[in-house]
Amino acid sequence: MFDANVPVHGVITINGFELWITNTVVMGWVISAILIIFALIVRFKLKNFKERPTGFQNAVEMMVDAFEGFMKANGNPAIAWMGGWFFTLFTFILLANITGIFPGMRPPTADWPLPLALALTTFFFIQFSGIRYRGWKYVKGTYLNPHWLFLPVNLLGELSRPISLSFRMFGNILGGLILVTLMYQLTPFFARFVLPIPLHLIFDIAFGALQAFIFTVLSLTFVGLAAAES
Amino acid sequence: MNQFMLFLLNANVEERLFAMDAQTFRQLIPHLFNFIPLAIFITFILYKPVRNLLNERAARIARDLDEAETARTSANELKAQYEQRLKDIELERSIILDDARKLATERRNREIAEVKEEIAAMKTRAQLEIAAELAYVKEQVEQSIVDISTAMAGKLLTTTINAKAHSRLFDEAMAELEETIFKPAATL
Amino acid sequence: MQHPLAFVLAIAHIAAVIALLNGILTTMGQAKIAAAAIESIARQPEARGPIATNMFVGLAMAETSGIYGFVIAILILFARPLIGPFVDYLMIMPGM
Repeated sequence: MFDANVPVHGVITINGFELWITNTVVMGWVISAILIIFALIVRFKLKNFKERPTGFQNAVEMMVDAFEGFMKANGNPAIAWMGGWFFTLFTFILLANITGIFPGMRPPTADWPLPLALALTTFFFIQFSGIRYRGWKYVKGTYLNPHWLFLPVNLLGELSRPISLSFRMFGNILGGLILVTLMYQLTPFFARFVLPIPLHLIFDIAFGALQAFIFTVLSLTFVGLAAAES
Repeated sequence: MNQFMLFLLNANVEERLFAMDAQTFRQLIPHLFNFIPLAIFITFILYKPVRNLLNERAARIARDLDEAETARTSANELKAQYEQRLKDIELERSIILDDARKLATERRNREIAEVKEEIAAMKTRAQLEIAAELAYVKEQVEQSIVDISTAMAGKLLTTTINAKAHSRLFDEAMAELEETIFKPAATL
Repeated sequence: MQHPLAFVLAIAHIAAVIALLNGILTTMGQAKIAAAAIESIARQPEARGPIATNMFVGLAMAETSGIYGFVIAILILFARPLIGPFVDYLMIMPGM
């Protein structure tokens, strides 16, 4: 058995309720810490942000501005207030996906619970924005579409969205992880630092960025469609 | 605390790649508890301030652009006014020029006509003078011929005819004739 | 006689390979999407950005079935839903 498994670092038991602290959870904390530190740095530097951006300020502004344009291009103007949520989603997934380039680190998105949690938040946002912006019409148009007898089918179709969203990213990243791990195991020791580099570049950086982009775009599209008036 | 939180290192856990059991779904809890506060934190600490900053800057730049646009419009109006004035002046100038040119042409034509008339008059006068001169010359020549002939006839009648006298007479007559003929020619 | 567990493992691997076979059709669908996107970029090069974005989203949507096959293969190989009931069956069978 090769070493693509999720390591378990510890177990929390609360009144018989057993919860494993897996590597994924720890990596999630690490990525959150990185993002929080970055946000705090930006927050403290925001006061002396200049009119003409340079260096660090330029990078931050470019990131946020690119995301704003992306929201405007792909989304609904009604959901512009959720921009922060999608920004966090994108940066979190991007960081999570590209942690695989560091040897010995396992990308946390290659464990199903994390993508499922993210996709469930997207599912919640879809339902929330649909009910908030369209009310009963959304429920009627989505769940009771031709007739109330179709409720189970529609419910299944609606529930398949987070499942397919989470499985898409999980499958892509896990496939890359398995291929890279197999490559590490199959190559002799002296070639182990040269041969997997292209695989890392493709599976961790290119596919990771692509999957983060696709997850965010699909979430945006779903939420925007649910909030659309027509 | 005894039952609340208990870390069991190296407990009976399974390292796995993928499974769909209760533990997988329990894993959602720490992830959601991690991600939702993170998203709220990032939204209010990083995203919104930077976005507000960018929006303010964009609004300021748009305002500056508007001001520049209005300034440009007023400048364009001023320029159009000046151009209109220039055009008027140009029109006036061309009218004045045309008038002057017309006047000059008229005057020139008139002067040319006058000069031509004068020349024609001079020509007729000269022709008349030439005709008078010719008549005078003719009269003179006729007079001379009549004089010579009378003189010659007189000589012929008055002198006796001998060889010596004849030749002398002839020479005299000839000399006289030459004198008579060439005298008007010399005077002319 | 072979151990019956080995037989079950072999069947599981074959099943995983069959589950992965849908990658053929998935790849063909993705190739069609990419070809159409390239064609429209060639016809309208100024609309390159939106076409590329929509192409990636469409590729991701078409990839779903392939990913489902991959997940099923992973499930069969690593989560082993067949082994548990079979081991239970072996436990209660006398003489095995």
